[in-house]
Amino acid sequence: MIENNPKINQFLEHLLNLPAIKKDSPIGAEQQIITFIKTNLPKLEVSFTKPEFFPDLPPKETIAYIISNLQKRVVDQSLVFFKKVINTEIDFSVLRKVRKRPVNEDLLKDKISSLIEEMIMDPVCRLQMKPVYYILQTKYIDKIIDLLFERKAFTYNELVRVQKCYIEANEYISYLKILLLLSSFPNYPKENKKILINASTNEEKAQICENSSKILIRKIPEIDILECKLAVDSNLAENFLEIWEASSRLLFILIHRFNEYEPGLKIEKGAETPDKSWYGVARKIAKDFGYSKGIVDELFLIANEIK
Amino acid sequence: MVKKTKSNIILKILEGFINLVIFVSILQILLEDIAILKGFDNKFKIILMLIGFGIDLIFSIEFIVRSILAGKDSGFIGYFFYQYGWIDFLCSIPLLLMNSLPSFILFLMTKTLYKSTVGFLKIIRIIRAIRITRILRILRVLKILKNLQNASSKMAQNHLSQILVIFIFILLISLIGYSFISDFSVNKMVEKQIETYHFALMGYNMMISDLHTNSKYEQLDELLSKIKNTFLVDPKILSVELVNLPNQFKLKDNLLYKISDFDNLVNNFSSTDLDVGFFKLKISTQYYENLRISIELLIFVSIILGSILYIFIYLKIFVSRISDVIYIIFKGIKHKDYFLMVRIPENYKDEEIFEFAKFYNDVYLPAKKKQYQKSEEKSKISIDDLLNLDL
Repeated sequence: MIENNPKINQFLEHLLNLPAIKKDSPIGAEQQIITFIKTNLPKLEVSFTKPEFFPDLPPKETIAYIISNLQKRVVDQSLVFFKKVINTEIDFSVLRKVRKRPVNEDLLKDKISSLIEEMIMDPVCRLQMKPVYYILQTKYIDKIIDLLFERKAFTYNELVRVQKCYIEANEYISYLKILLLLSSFPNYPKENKKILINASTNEEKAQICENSSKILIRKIPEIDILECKLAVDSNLAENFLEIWEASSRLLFILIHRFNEYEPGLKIEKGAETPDKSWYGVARKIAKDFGYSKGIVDELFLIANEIK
Repeated sequence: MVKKTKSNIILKILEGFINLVIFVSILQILLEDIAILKGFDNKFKIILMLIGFGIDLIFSIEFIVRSILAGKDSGFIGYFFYQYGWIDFLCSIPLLLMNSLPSFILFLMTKTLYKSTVGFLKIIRIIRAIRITRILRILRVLKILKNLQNASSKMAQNHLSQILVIFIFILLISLIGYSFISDFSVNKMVEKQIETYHFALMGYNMMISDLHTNSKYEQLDELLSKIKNTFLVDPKILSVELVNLPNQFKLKDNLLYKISDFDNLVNNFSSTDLDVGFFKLKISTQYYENLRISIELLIFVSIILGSILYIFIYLKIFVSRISDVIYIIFKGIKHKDYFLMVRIPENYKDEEIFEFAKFYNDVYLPAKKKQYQKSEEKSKISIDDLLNLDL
């Protein structure tokens, strides 16, 4: 009965079309709406019994239906997006070049695609994928890698020479995108006994990541253990990483940056851009938050060029 | 909710209407002066006078209504002294009572417009200069301009208004002062001119008297032709008539001289009469009137252009170097999830305000970030968003 009620779908459409929601990503919109429902639950339950809403339906069931319908939409939209990225924006042959061994690219692509699907279906893991979504949606990696490779300064040196990953800028973009897609794996409860967001200390996080990379390699044996480690370790502060893990250090910063990303944020005149401001603050607290000072400093310098 | 929206729309329409009237009032002042300069048709001048009367009436009603409403809310004193009520007053009731209403009444009674002739309605002419106080009303229009700069900074708006009031007020006082001085000097110039005519005519009078005493009546024509030639070269003399000549002088026509465009010049421009002995002269004072109005117009246009320039140049400087900086720092202190840094221009980084901004960027924000725990996601939608829902 609820399913066939056009008013509920209309209500959900209305919510999704609110300006604050519309400009957000599907995962961001889901997060906002669920937070909204949680904080306004008593008021909503009263409002829903009013004649202009759903007087004939039990409010709790109505809300439960709204949430499940919303999540279904978010999953569908997110899947379309991630699959598009996997199929059109990533060149998986880069892994062959990095590890200098043959890789079954199609199989790898399918396996990563299936894993992402599983992770997206999981509501806890999905929310942790919000920064990943934003990074890919804004093509942020494409923009910064081009700039960093042009500068050939600290970050370039870290990514190429220290990590011993001698590939071109466009290949590095694909490489980082693959790592980024897999970076949320430690927050996937179905595969991990304990997930990252429930860890209370950095040491515990490091332990979870270590276990998680082992699980990941079993799940996708086509990928190298080093890539598994780099992807999963993107959740760890600099002092828990090995020297060669430059990609993880960069992705750790980007994930934190996009965790605070606000699409369509209005910038007041006289204020720095959100990027410049974020890196400006991050370079001062790099040690406390585990950011690589050198990378943050360089991102701060190029922040105004990231368009 | 619906009621509130309706009253908001009405208020917005009224505000828009008043802004339009302000622009029209400035245009009307300009056209009124140009009409005098160019000698526009009387009908046009009457229309302008009526528009001026209408504008002053609207502003007066607006001032009274605002005063009554302010009396109900924050109080008349608050409105008058702190919300530019005094400007509304200066631009309304005094102008209505001293300028447009007398002109309107004069028009109703005589069906003619007053003309700024020397020695006639001098007070009204001086008060006309005070019409320029209407420029102060531009300040009300500033609300339109606020979006050009920092819409959120009340500081910038208030500062701009206060400085602009001082700026325009000083110019106005200068202009009004100038009006008195110029009126005095124009009068002096006219008086001097009349004195010259008077002196010349006294000589001609004596010559005519001599002819009469010596009974040389036949020599009058020769003398008159000499006098006529003198007047022909002076464009300020509109007509010369001979009056009270002894009967022995046989004259065909008492009108000695009349300028070709006499009717137009007398009806549409200012002039004055001069009676000296046997001569009655009609003298144009338009030259002096033009001089006075040209300077008034120049000052008027300068004030407008100066104000506009001020708005665009000074406000931009003030906003970018003071109010924006304070606004961002204030927002950063007030909102726990606001982390945008202040942009510090390289050229001004030594100024105290940017030193302060640097401290905010480099010390306050990082310290705040360390304290800040993104414990709970905040939704940007509110329960009020549901009120607009029409299922």
